[in-house]
Amino acid sequence: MQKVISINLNGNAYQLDESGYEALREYLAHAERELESNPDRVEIMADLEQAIADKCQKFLGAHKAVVTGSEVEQIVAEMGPIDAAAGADAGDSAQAGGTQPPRSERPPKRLYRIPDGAMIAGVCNGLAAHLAVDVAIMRVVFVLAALLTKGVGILAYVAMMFVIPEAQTPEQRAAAGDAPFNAKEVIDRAKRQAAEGTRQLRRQWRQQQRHWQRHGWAPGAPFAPGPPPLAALLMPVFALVHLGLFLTAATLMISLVNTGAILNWPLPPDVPVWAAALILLVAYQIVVAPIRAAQHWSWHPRAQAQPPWYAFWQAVSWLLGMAFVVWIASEHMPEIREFLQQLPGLVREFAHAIQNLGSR
Amino acid sequence: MSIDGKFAAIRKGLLEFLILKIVATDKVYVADILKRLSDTDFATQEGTLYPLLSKMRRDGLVDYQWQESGAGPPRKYYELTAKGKSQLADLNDYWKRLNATITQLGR
Repeated sequence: MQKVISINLNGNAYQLDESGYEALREYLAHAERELESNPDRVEIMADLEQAIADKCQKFLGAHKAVVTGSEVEQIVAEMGPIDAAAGADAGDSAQAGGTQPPRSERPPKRLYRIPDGAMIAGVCNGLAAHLAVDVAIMRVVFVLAALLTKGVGILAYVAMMFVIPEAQTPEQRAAAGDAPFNAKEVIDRAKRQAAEGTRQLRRQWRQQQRHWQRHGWAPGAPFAPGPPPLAALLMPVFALVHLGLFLTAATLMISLVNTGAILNWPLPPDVPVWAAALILLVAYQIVVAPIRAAQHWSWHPRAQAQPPWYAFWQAVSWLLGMAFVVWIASEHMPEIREFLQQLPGLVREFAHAIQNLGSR
Repeated sequence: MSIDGKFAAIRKGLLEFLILKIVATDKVYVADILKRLSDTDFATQEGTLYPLLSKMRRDGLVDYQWQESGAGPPRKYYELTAKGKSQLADLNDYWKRLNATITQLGR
C-alpha cells in the first residue's frame, strides 16, 4: 500500500503515489538547478509543469485517480533531461559546451560614441574612453581645436557624429573601453548594487525608527535622510552660480545671434555666426559641468536608483517650463523675439555649411 | 569524437533552424513541434525544447500568444517575428550554399 500525495502542477491538482512524487520532485528540483542562471527560469518551469500535467492526464481515467511511480518515470523519460545549454545565450553556451575556455579577455578596442553622460552626441566621451584620458580633457582639447581652426573643429565633431557608430550593446560598450563586458562582470555588479540598496534601505529604516521613538509618529515625517549638512548649505550657492552662468550665457548668445558680435567684441570676419554659437554652447557646457555635478551630488549623495520614468517626467516638465518661460520672454522682450526670429536662418546657414563640406 | 558524437553536434546546431522552419509554416504549440520532429533524426524532448524556445524568444525570433484549447488549459501558440522570418531566409540561403559546396567538392 502506498500513500497518495496531492501536488499542484502549474495550477492543476494531481495525485501521485509516494514513489511517483519522489521521482517528480527530483526531476523538477534538478530542472530548477539547471536553469538557475536562465532569465526565463520561472516561465520555463511553468511550461515544464504544464507539459507534465498534460502527460499525467493521459494516465488518468474514470476509475483511475492516481499516477503511479512507474508512470511518472515514463513521463520524466519522455520529458528528457533539461538542456540548459540550449536555452543559454550564445556567449554562455560556448562555456557550457566546455570546448572553449571561458571568455574573460576583453574584445579588441574600437572607437564608438558613448551616449551615457554625453553632452552632445558622445564623440568626446567615446574618444576619451578610447584613448583612456579624462573626458573633460578631451572636451577642452576639442574646444581649443575648434577655436584655433576657426570652426573647422566643430565640423569635424559633426562629421564624427555621423561617422562613428554609437555603442549600444554591452559588447560595444566594452569594446569602446567603457563598461564591463562578460555576463559575470555584469552580474557581479548588479549583485553589488542590490546588496548596497538593501543596506541603504535598512539604514534608512533604522533611522526612521529612531526618529519615531524620539519624536513620535507624525504623518509626513521625512523618510529619507537629506543630503549631508555641508552640501545642503552649499546647494543654494551652487544653484545661484548655475543660474548666473546660464543668464550670462543666454545674454551672450542673444547678443551674438542678434548683432553678430559678443557684446561689443566683434567676431573675426571668417568665423560664421553659427560656429560661434556652437562654440559658446560647448564652452557653457564645460564651465557648468562641475557645478552641475556638484549639484547632482548634493541632491543624490548616495546615487539612489530612480525609477526610469522619473528622469523622463523630469525632462518633460523641464521642457514645458522652459517653453513657457521662452514664450513669456518673447512676448515681453523684443531682444528675445528677435533672437527667436534669427534662429531658423542660423540653422539654415549651419546646414549649408555642412552641405558644402560634403560636396567639397 | 565518435562519428555519432559528430552527428549529434551537427544536429544540435541545426535544431534552431528546423524550429524556425516549423514555426514558419503555421502557428504551432510545443506538442506540434515535438510531433513534427519526432519521426526525424531531430527527435527532441520538452526538456530541450522549452529552454531553446525561451532563448529564441529572448533573441526576438519567435513570439507566442495564449490561445484557448478545446480541452484543457490555454496553450502558447508560437509564431515567427519579422526578425525570425529574415533569419530563416538567411539560413535557407546559407543552407543552399552549403549544399552546393558539399556537392561541388565531389565524393
